[in-house]
Amino acid sequence: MSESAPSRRREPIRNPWIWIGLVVIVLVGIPWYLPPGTLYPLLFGLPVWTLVAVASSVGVCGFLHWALSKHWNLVEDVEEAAASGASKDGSESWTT
Amino acid sequence: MDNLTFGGWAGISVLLGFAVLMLLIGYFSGRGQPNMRHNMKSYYLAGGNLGVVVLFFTLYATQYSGNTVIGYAPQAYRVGFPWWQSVTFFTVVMAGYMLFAPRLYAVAKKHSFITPTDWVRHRFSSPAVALLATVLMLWGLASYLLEQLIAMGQAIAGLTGDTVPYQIGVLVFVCVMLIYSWMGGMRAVALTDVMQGIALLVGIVALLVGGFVLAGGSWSETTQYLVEERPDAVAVPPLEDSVNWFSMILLVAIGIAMYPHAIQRIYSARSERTLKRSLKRMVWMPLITAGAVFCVGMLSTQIFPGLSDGESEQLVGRLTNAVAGINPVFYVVMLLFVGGIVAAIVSTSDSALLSFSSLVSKDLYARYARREVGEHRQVIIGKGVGAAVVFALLLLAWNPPATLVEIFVLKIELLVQLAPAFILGLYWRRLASGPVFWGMAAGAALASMMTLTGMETVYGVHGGLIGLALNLVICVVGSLLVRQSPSEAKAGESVAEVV
Repeated sequence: MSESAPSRRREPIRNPWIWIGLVVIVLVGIPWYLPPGTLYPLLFGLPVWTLVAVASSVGVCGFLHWALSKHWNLVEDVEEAAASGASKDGSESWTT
Repeated sequence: MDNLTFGGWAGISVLLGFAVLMLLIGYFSGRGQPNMRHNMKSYYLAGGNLGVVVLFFTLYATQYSGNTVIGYAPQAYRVGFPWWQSVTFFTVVMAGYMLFAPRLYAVAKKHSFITPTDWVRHRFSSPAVALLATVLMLWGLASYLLEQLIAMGQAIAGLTGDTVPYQIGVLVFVCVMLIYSWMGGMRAVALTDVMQGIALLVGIVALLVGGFVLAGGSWSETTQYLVEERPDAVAVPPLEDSVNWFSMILLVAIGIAMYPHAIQRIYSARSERTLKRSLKRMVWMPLITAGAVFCVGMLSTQIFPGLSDGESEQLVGRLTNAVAGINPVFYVVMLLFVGGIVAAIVSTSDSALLSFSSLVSKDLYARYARREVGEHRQVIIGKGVGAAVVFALLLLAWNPPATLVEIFVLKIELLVQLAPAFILGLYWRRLASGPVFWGMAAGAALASMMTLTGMETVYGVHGGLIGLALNLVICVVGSLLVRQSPSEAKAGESVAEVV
């Protein structure tokens, strides 16, 4: 497999910046940096720290989607090449 | 779930409808795969050929069950805004998969793995490590199944207004689950997950809309009510709670990714592209699922103020009844929703049960039987063991031991101890079987001891993570100190060669 496309082989675990970025986004969403008991200000009917937590969660979703898209390619090229005879587009299927 | 605005025969009809649909899916799934009864890979992994949509829904049904609604909405009600953490920890589960799924998928395809123990046996060549991992997985799965059976009983009793006695309702659905699983194996389980997942998703959104209507259509009013009546539910939590928040994210991220049935879904993917696409869709589901359930719980603080902890456990039942009373459209949607909750609980149970059966039949019975056991017999044994276990757990389910969320933490604290064997084992050639065994045993013992003595956290850090830290130290230090056997060294090399 290594002969086919060595330059394109990628594993998320091998990129430390993915994990550093993930931890930073997650930590931003936890209100450890504010004094306990803080209630105000409220914005859009929510405490601001909760809005930051919500933004952090959306950020984690987007970040992981990006990481899965761009940093994972181990055997895909080989598999798709092998399967190309049966299906050219690799489209989604309702069958199992 | 008193004073039902719906229930009785309407509820029974919806439940019967879902049951018939599941049986039909099982029947047609089985008809399409004549070799399934004689082939382990067909029965337990749908031939390793699940496409994107089905794989997505079966991953979804594995991660979220009816219990996510029944157990987590009350948690949001009790905890307040800090329970938003549930959305993050469900999202970060995908990061847990990213730690090991890419390489495990490639190795599993090459060596035709069926159970998670197949990897452990392949990598460590140690019967002791394989046996310990199997026992931990079975323990975790049994706990998981027990939790689902308890939730199933509550949901059925709520839907039918006790027209169907709790025990009879659960028995009927357990039999339906066993029959369609036996008829169609993993393919039936995955296809019913599609139906059950859609029902759960639609129902949660409808419940949220109904909750907004009942709460007056304004989120600000709910927050203002909490600021005046329960400021702790709105305020920034103490530092120890923030530590606990991060600890929960780590524990769930690694623990849920280690579910044996989740690992078997990695094996079941048709291709790497299929697996990747399914996980990319899964990344967004916490916002729609756990996020919506969080909102339902928060809105309920205004709709049903002043519930005790025990009363809040019935929150979803109360809210469903209230929403059903808004108008006939909500009545019908809520009727389908509670049926969908039961279906979602069944869908989560069937995955766990199938995984349990595969572990017992392949990793215990076939491994330790005194004679050669063919695949046909292993499938039969798996079916029998599954039935025996589920009926034994039913006896326990009828005497539920604690609140649902506490049971959930118990199983995950044990399953997380498998992480070094999978994650380190895939990337670190020097990892040796002896330290893995002792690390896993020590981590599981410490986590169990902390839970049993009531010391579930230390400065907010969960016992499962403390056990995992001990486990990791033993694995790393031990592997640096001991010499690997030739077979272990060869297995470590072969994993690297796969990619």
